[in-house]
Amino acid sequence: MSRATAFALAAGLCMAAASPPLVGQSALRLSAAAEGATVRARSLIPSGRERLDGYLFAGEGLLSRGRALLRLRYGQGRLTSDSAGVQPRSLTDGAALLGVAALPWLDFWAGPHARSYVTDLGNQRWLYWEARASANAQLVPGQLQSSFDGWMAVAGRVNVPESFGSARGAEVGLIALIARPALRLRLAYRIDQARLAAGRRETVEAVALSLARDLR
Amino acid sequence: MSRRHAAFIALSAGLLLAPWPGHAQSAQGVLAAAIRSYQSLDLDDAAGLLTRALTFQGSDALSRQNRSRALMYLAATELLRDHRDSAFAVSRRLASYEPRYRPSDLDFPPRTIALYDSARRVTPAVFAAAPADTALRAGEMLLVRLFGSTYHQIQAALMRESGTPLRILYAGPITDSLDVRWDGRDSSGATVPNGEYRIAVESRDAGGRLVRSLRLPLSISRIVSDTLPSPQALASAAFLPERRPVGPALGAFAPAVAVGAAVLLLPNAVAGSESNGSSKGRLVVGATATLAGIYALFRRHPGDAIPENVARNQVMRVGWRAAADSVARANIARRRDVRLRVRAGEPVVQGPEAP
Repeated sequence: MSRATAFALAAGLCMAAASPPLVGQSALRLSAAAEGATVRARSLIPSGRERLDGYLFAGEGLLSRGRALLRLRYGQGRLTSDSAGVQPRSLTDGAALLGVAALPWLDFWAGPHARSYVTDLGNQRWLYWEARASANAQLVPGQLQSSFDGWMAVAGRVNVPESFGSARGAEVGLIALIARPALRLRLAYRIDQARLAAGRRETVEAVALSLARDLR
Repeated sequence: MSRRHAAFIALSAGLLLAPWPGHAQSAQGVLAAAIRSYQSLDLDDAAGLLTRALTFQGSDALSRQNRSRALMYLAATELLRDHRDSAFAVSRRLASYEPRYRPSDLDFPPRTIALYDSARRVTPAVFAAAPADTALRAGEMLLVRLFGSTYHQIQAALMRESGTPLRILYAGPITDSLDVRWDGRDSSGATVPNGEYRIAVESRDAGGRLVRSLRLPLSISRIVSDTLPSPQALASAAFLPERRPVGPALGAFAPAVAVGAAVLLLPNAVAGSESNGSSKGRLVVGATATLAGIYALFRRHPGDAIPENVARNQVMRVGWRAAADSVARANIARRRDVRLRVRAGEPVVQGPEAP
């Protein structure tokens, strides 16, 4: 899928977001979250396999008005490996997603998602144009809910000689409303994998614990 | 046939078919003519017309009141014609026929009234009057009013149509009038069954001889009230569920199970062959999700009683039961409220001095 397709997808989301809001969602709402995650990254490269473990600290902001959603995310972390000869990496991950609340329990998102690995040997940057769907389900109303996210890259770019292949990922989690409605605790597991056309694969898993607060 | 024979036959047919003035006149008209003749002292004509008025039968006959008037005018006419014995006999006939009759001194001279009174005093007779249609509830009584021509001894008895006596209602003297009451029961105290009955009133003279018997026919039947329909049973859809359903609880449990399953399956689904060596930390998420699901499941209390629904349903059941009991009580009362319908016929006089 080309970048033009990704732009068309984003434009469609913008038009959907301009449609009448869902009940009770017309006010401007803003929330912020801080996240800490344990991360495991695995790379399949021509010279072999690498496995690195580390952490990631991220911040996330969510702005919504009516059906329109905007999500900004930025995180940094460090990955190391017990194996000899594997360079530790600094991990930077960020996304700017535009979304629409299709149903009270279903959102659609689209936008760029960037990730970079910095090692002593160099810098590797990935850029995906991703399309994402998010759903949630109530377990105990007002107390517990579950969340499901799935995404795939509709276009991508990476600063290596090989061309970009594909990327996809998923995330599931539990959200506990610990101080309703202002404070939410989220425990999630996510995994994504990016592929280059030549066969290289980068898989990143994370178990994340985040705390979110409604600011307005 | 000769011309003379034909003329005779035609004349005879004409006479036979010609309207007869006497037949066309009603009994009421004849009585009116008789009274006019009496008042103009044309006594022979009056006697003839009165006699003729009294001969009308069936639907053409005089009413009871006019028949009594005709008899009184006939007695007066006979007395004026100096036929005292005949006048006395007619007076007795009148007293026997209508014991309630009392002549007006505006219409008849004192001599006539005196004659009638003397005849009435020696003519023991009773007339009975009862409501044509009566419905008797328990404790109520049928009132039969007896009118006597003079003081004498009577006996009023309830009898079957066949003549079998069931109960003596009254035995004793009567003067002018007397009320006899009957509660619908026979001498044993049992309510008489449906059927045809009569109240027989026997009049006896001073010597105890039966001189007249009057029968008042009674037709007895029972009126039973219709019962009320029971209230319609409450449909199950009218009740609220009394226990919390399992479905919503499972609906809350399922997403948590889905999270747990996704945690196990996602590495293979997303990373394929690269899923080996996936983070064990994800199992913490899966276990937490499963525990959250179990919490959500029991938080909904599947199968537990819902007290407010139980109470509301109970109110509905009690209300329905109260309505059903009310109808049942009303129906019991209606079944007990059997009324005895008594229809009285026209009195019939039998006996030696029947008119």
